[in-house]
Amino acid sequence: MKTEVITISNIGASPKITIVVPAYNVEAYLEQCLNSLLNQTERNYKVIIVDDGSTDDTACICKKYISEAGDMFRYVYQENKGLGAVRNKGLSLVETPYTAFLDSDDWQDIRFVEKFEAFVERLDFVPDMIFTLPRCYNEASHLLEDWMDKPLYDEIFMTGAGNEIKNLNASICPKLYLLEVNANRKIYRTAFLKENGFSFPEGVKWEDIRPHIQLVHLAKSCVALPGTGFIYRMNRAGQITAGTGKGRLDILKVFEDVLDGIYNGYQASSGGLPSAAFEGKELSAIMHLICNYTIWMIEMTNMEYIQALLEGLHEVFVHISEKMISAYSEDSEPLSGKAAAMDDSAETGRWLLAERNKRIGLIRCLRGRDWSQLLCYEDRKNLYRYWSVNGGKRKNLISGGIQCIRDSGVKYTVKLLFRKAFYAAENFLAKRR
Amino acid sequence: MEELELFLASLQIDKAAILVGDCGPERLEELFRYVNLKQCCVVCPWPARDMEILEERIRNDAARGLFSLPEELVFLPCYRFGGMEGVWAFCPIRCKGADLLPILNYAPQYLAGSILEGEVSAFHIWEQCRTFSREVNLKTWREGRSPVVLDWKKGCEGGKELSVIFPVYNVAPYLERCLKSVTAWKAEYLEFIFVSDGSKDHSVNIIKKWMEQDSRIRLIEKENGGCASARQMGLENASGRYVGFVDPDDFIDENMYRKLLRAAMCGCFDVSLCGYNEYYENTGRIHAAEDSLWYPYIDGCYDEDKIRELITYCRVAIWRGIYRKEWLEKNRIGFYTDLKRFDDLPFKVETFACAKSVVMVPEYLYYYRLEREGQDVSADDERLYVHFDIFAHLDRFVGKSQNQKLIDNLQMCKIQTHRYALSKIRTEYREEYLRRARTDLNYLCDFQRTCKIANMMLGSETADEYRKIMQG
Repeated sequence: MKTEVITISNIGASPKITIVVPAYNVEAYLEQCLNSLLNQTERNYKVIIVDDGSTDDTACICKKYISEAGDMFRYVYQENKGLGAVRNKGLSLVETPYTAFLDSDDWQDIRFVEKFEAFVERLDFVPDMIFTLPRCYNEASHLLEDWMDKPLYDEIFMTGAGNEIKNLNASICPKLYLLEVNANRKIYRTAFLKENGFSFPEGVKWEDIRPHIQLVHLAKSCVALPGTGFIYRMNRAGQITAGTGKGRLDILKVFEDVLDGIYNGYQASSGGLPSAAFEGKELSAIMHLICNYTIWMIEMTNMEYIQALLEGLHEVFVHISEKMISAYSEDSEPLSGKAAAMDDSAETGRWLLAERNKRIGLIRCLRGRDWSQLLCYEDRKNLYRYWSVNGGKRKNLISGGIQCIRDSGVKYTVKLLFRKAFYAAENFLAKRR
Repeated sequence: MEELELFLASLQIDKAAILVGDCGPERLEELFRYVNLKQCCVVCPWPARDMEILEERIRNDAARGLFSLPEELVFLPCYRFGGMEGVWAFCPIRCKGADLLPILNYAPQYLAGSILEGEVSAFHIWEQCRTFSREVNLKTWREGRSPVVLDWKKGCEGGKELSVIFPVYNVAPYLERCLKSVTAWKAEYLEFIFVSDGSKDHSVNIIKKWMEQDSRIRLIEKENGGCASARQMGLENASGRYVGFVDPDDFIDENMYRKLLRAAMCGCFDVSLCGYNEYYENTGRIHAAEDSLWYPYIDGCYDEDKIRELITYCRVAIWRGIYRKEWLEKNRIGFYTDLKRFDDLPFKVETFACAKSVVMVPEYLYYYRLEREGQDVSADDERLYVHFDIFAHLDRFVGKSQNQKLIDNLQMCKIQTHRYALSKIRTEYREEYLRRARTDLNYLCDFQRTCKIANMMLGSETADEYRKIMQG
């Protein structure tokens, strides 16, 4: 371990940022995480480790770091309650003007605090949220990869283009909603969170989605911190996002929570006025985000729970307001979280349109009565297209046949017809037997 | 930010020699933005004038406050670099592999950085420095394909990289040829584990004779318990990071394991495979067993769906690959010792169900011995019923995941296996086999769905066969 170097300028200055680290049974990764915090090049910050009732060596490892770092690090234990509750606990203990979160299986750039301080010093206003661009470390390939939304992030904040700092919010730039929702990639003004009575949802997975939408909506000023971000560990065995079972159903509660916030506004805890209503552009972006998660959930959920998931999604989608649906389908500018970095702008346009059509197809399908067709992975791809093109109207044999002849030729259509008849007869016989 | 910065920051390395290759000052500046070095030596293979320009640019940009420089920073041409004192890291950036070799003479404790794909591979460089380096993290940039990373930490003293396991049972006539072909590669980080499964002939004596000349050979003797139990015992006793399996009546191309290990290590792959030949003993003819699985696996595949498809498309041949041992253990993949035959079928399904990365060497390197052309390797009687025990294990293993794609692939594997068995089996056992096959095929998937998927994955002919099986 290196000895601490305290730069003269910082003696006496109170720390600007606290990093909250929730820890639950991560002894294998915790040291790398805490090392990256302990070895920051700028020494003026706080770390709060909240132990979520770990049963392994987590507590012991934490204590080692506390004794090394002195009062810079603080360790808090609470009985196991899940990630949301642990972050809330940490947040309640923060005393610095800014707060950041870091999961204990990830780790931070060792110059993070240094870059953050230099950046905040340059600003002549106080931002509510500061976005960073993390990187992904792939445990399977041992490669460092770009964060999922890098092209969009660059497009929104145009980092690197001159020294001008872009100051954005949701009504200027609704695309902010489409950035990866991860709570660790943002630095929050602590007072901004507290004034709005913000807390993470407890007891559900996918706990970052509602906070992301809520905070992007409420923030008056969002900026991007250039050249740093934490490192996200992908493909780790036992990662929350890797589960394919019951946990996936939590998304239904999350969607309800999100929609509830959109319809009723977010209200400050101190009895303040509800926040401004969501504008059409914002609704469109949020709808796109919901669709992204829906597609992902349908792809990832296993056979045992897919039926329940689709049933739940059907319920959620049927109750989405017409206003929101039409805001999305009539939005003149197609959106994408992964704005394509293609050279050919015409091709990019087509791709974006196709992505949007797929989602419109999905919405129609889930709102209709044939959502169970989404059960099988091999059917889905065509289904989305079918629903977006035909608007979900069932076609009869004749108009369907004509369409097929036009699309694929007479020979194919006849063959298909015979094959379908053959299978139908066969299945009928098989069932009788 | 690249893997190099992660490496230096995570290990808190503060002394580094950077060998500049195909990159500009921007790359160096990026590096300084993410690491915290005390002493740094930038080694340039360029003309002196170009090196001066680089140094000037870096120092100017640092003076403008864009990033901070290491306390001690020198720029040196290659021929003046003479290593560093104490613990230091050698960091090539986009260099040719061959340019690294002279600097390895100064025995750096750490090697991290990137090279360009070329004649000198990351594996070769690792071989040069594995004795004195503690960790190697070397990325290879590849033309038109994504890069791969060799990531290696020194293990305990005497730790091996590759263990090859041989289940031995009455194979004396073939052993010499097998031993000769596998021991031809003289690397010391190999071990060969022969597990004598109660062998009754003089196989054990032959192995003992070879052990005197080659200390890498180990012999374990046990009571007869079947091939699966022998492989399992070998696996439990292996100390290598990768394990491979050879049947001692077969033999290999002398370069097989070097090529497999090179491919596997260069990208930290879970499984590394090559093609194999059928060798007919009576005629000496060699016939490459084609399964045309090269693309996309030869570039190294991390796509789960593509890897799952190998359950359907890859032939059962455990000896054509090597497997990362830590990963096998984590996923509890081994051998079912209660199975008397075909224990490599469940092994295949389980490895491809769990693998996160697979790479293939596009060459035919293993020689599988058959007595004569068209020889029937499988039994044709009730011994074929073992398939149902195997699939009972696999139904449990795969069924737990409730993953539709995985289950579909297992179903396709079942169809092919039963179809093959039915084409071999004698008439008196056929009815019973058919009856049990129907139950087995109905266990995880329904009829309609299987027809559809079989049509898609195996073609209409096999789908028709499936219908025939189901309908008698």
